[in-house]
Amino acid sequence: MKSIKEKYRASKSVVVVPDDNVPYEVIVKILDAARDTRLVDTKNAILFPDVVLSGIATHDADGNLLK
Amino acid sequence: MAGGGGGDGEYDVNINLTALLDILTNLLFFLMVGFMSSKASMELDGGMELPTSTAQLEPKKAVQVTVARKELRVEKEVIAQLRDGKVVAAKSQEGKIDPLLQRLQIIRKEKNATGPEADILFVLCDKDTPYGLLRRVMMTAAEAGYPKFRMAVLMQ
Repeated sequence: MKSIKEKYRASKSVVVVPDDNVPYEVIVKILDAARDTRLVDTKNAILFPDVVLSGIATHDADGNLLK
Repeated sequence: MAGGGGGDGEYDVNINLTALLDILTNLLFFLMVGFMSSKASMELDGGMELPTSTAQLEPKKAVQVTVARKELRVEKEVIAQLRDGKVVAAKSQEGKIDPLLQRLQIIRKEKNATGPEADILFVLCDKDTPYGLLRRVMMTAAEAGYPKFRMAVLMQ
């Protein structure tokens, strides 16, 4: 996360797309890491304050299951 | 010496309670410190456990959905049974959970609330819940008029 932040310093958001089998606890840890303040040089700065939790689309707009 | 002999074999004994109270106070203090420093692992209904997080926000009351290990609840009412991270015997369309959708739509209509807090759901989710199930719950809730979520965690 820190190396990504160094590469994209202006970016504040990150999109997390977990697999369906990932336990909720692991996702919480990832979200915590994304909002961590200790990894940034500037005091009290947050790595990625805007975290978007997303999922892979399983159905199309007509409700058909995507394969 | 405290206590004196009576004529009929009775004794007057003066008990000093100060030392006893000191011991009890110390015991209480150590119990409180031990309780506060023990690992925060809260046992909730149905044997569920919440994950821990570094988040510091205080919980705020909202319509509550619970994803436990064996059942899905809205407020206190059991909506569906869960097994291996999947909803048992519940019809679903496009990944949505129909009983949950119907219950939340009824609550949304009954409350008829407006304002910034009206469309927020408070979600208690077991730490081992697979994301696939949680995603379906959130998708269904959004469809029922609750697109915003407060996820319950334990503070580290």
